[in-house]
Amino acid sequence: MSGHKYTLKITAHDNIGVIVRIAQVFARRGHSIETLNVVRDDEHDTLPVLYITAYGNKTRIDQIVAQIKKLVDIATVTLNEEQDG
Amino acid sequence: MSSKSNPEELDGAQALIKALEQQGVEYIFGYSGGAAIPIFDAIVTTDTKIQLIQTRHEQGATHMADGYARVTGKPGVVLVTSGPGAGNTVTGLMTAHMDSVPIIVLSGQQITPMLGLDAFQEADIFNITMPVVKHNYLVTSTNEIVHTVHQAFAIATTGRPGPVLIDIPKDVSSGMFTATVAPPAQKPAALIAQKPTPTSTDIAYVQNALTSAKRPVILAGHGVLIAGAHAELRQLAQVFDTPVTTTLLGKGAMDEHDDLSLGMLGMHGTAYANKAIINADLILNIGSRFDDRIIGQPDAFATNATKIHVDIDDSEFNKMITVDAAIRADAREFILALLATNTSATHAPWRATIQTFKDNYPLGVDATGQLTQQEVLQAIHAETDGNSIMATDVGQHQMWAAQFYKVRSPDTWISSGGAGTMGFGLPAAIGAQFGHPDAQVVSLSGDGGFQMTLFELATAALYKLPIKIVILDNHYLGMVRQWQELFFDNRMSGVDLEGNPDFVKLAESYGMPALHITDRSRLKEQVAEAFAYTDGPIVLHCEVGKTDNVYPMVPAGRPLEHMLTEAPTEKLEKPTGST
Ligand SMILES: Cc1ncc(C[n+]2csc(CCOP(=O)(O)OP(=O)(O)O)c2C)c(N)n1
Repeated sequence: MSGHKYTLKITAHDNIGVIVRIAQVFARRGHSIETLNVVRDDEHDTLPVLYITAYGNKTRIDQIVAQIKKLVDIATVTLNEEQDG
Repeated sequence: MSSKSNPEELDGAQALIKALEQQGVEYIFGYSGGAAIPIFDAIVTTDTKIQLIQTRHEQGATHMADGYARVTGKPGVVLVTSGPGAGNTVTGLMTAHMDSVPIIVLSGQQITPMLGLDAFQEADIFNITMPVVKHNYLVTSTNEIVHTVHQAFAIATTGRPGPVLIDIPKDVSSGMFTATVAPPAQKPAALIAQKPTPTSTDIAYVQNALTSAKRPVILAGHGVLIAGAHAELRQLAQVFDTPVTTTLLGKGAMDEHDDLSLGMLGMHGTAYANKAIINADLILNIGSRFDDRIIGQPDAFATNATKIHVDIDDSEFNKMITVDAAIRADAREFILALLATNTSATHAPWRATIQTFKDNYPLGVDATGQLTQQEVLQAIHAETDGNSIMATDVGQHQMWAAQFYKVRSPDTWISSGGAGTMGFGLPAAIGAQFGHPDAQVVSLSGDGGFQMTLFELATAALYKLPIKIVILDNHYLGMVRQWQELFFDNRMSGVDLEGNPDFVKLAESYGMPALHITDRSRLKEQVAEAFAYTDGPIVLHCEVGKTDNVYPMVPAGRPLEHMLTEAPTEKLEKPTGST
């Protein structure tokens, strides 16, 4: 695991295969996903939210974010760099 | 699977055909099989105007749809069966995806209760194709079919275009469709009209950059053609007195006979285009993704130039090249906004420098030994005046065609750029001819690539398409042989095409005439003879020099400054920066 730790917060339409599509963006670049969490709030009928953490350099992670944003099933992606410690 | 009691009722497959009609589809390029039979049946039972073009291979069908889409701007539609049929579309999808071409592939699939059970001809094409499509669908309910088709067309054609696959299980296509065949929520035209425009700050920045630059170059890519901005591009070049170079896929964005045109840049680009880039102080990239074949070594690309990148797809920004300004906009909207500033510039000294590049480094032909590919291309250019639709395959002939076949108009140059798919040329030419029945279409292939999809000669013959099918036969996988000669001490491995058929007899066996061209003294006359024949396809089998190499050449991954304009006198290092 080299580079900083980043968290991607992704809101996605709940269509078949959406997690595979996101995972492929990482996989084709030979990049690992550290953790993946999916949260949904059925009461408020909002889109499911995926939290993905991954290590990497900023350029690479920015490219991954840009490619995930392009996926048709994705609504939003926000990127956070985790503070050390 | 239910059966219909009322003839007014539609099954899923019939609703699918109706939805395709609503989208204005003219042709379906198809190849049948078990899981797709209901859909093929619906083509017959719905009394549709859509014409089924039966191909000889699913890969052929996808490249036909691709060629159709590239010349018309409308999505090409493919219909195949499950398993191997769908699997055979992967190369075509990848090719369209790499070059941002809208095609729609409809694949039959096993019935839904059998999904995942390894049933007969079940292939997980939904997952297989995910990385090579803009989007794809697995339709699980009959009533979703129409809506899915309309979404697919919208996705394929808006923003940065691309292929979409719709996988339709057989129980879904044969089930009853009980919803209404609602037309697309938004007219395709309305969707396409939703284009990002540049901000006034962006435009002011570019206007200032273009007027203050001493040595500006416009780099035009496929995005200019997709946006239909060729006329505006020319005006822009004239108003700002700025030369234009294009990528392989940008050919046709600017009339290459124009004084302001530099032709193609990059690995096998013209020396004057590459020298212009090397010496530029401003590069305005409109609709190109700075592909590795044009930039050479990314961190050594045009280091003295300010770089501005205009693209509809913002994931392209700073991907290959770090730029000074990135502007997300439709190419045409961008150019129109720039023209609306009513500013202009002159760059006379720079134009004079460019002219000396052109005079000192013209594209050359050595017409002393065996007939060369360049001479054949010059003869075709002379015959057509650059007004033909030219569909190429991949390899040396493609690069020579890019150099020597100067394109006049947009959407007449069809070539697999990003994927470099051998076997693309002939089926793409067929699709282009369906798209423009009155246009003159040339299919240009090497002897290697031609044999990858030559079975589509049957399709060309069946529909009597008057395509000039040119085979530039050097008896080698020429481009690979060139690399082996230059980088692997001329150790030839797996490039000799010994065992080729007699291409003239082959053509004749499909019922089409063929000419054997070997002699430069008869070249002009034989090309004229072939172009005068319009009753159907004709093959021009041209036997050309076996070991000619394409120059200029920038070794892969090296800076453009390392361009060779002729055969090197020293051994070259093996490329490492790119394949
Ligand atoms: C499907 C496919 N397989 C392999 C390649 C690798 N490749 C690139 S150019 C080339 C040689 C093409 O030979 P030919 O079609 O005879 O054309 P030439 O280069 O001789 O003009 C090969 C094998 C490719 N581009 N596509």
